[in-house]
Amino acid sequence: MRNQYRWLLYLYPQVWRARYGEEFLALLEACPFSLWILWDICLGAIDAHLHLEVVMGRGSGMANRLRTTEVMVFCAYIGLVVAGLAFGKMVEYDDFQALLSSNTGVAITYWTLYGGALAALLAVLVGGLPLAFAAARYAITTKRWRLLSLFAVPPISLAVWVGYLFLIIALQLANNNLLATPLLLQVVVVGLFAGLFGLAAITSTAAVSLAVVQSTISEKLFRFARIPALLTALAMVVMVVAVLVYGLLARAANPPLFAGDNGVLATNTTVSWLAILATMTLATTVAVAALIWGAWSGSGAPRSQTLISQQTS
Amino acid sequence: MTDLGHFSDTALLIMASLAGTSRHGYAIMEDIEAFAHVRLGPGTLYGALARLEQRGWIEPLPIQDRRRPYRLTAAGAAALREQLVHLQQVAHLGVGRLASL
Repeated sequence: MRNQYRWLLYLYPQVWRARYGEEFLALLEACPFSLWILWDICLGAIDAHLHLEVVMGRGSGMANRLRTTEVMVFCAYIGLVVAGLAFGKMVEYDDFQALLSSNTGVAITYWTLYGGALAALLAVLVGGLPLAFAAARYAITTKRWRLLSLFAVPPISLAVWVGYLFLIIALQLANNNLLATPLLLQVVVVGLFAGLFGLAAITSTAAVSLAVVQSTISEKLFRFARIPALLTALAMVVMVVAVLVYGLLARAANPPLFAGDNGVLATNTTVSWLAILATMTLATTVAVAALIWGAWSGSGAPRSQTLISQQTS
Repeated sequence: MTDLGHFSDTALLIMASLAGTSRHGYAIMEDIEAFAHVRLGPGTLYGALARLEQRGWIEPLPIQDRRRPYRLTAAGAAALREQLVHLQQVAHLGVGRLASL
């Protein structure tokens, strides 16, 4: 009977299993099994993974709230960076560069975008690096090698992507002209290139975020990262507005430019611009919403709802 | 109790169940079903138990036959009392207003 449910325990984090595993198993054996029970256990496992601090007994509510907010801002920032890189790729063509030198409005928005990107990058580095170092130090001092291995994901992802890039270059050299190959093959090669980049960005962001979430880090560092997180979100807003205005001005100045197929992966330029703008807007909304949530939940709710929490906080 | 998010109602039921005596997980589930007609799932129950334990409102007792009983702490009892008094005030107010309809 015991082994029948033991596999369900593996849905939960190791630290949770160590604390509650045996008694939880005893409870499961007493409950008549049903799909509803299975669903409830799955939700409980997700909750345990997301709120590991509950079992580890580390950090205050404030620290956990700041942690969630800052990790969400970081993830949103990476989403915006990926879209921003696509935008950079789109406007590198000669026609766009010519417009940049001839149209003051386009030039101002373009350099505003770069200024925003630089400000956001600096803010993320200032706020994020101390947290990443603290998480790595925690993993080393507590000998949590699985946690430490999460930091290997970004360089490995980058290496895979760069490896594929070298493979494409080698193929190009071998075939002399990759563009002469069938269209389907080109789509597969370039699609894989873009897909691997996206996958690398997602896995790297998730790995670093998970490392920070699962580590015990001083509340001071999270408090310190509040201002950089706010600055990152503000810079993201500036970048979104810059991309919007850039597109409108460039389109007004040279309409045929947006009718061509100079977009990402040779797609329609207008569609690419709109997709990039939508992605950046979504990422920025997530960052701003995370900051508002963090500030709102930190400010407290009406007394009628917080009788008990006030007493123990 | 808003700190407990969607576990706040469950937490109140668990604390009410532990108000009289110590109980293990399955006994808490049975008791809550009996007095509140609410059937808690194991995942929900342990999510709330972990949070209550983290806040120091309940404490685990030595394990007995693979089952671990929990009991209310003094801080938990005070928190529960205040919350119940508040709910009583709300109920009294609501009933009073209904009577005037």
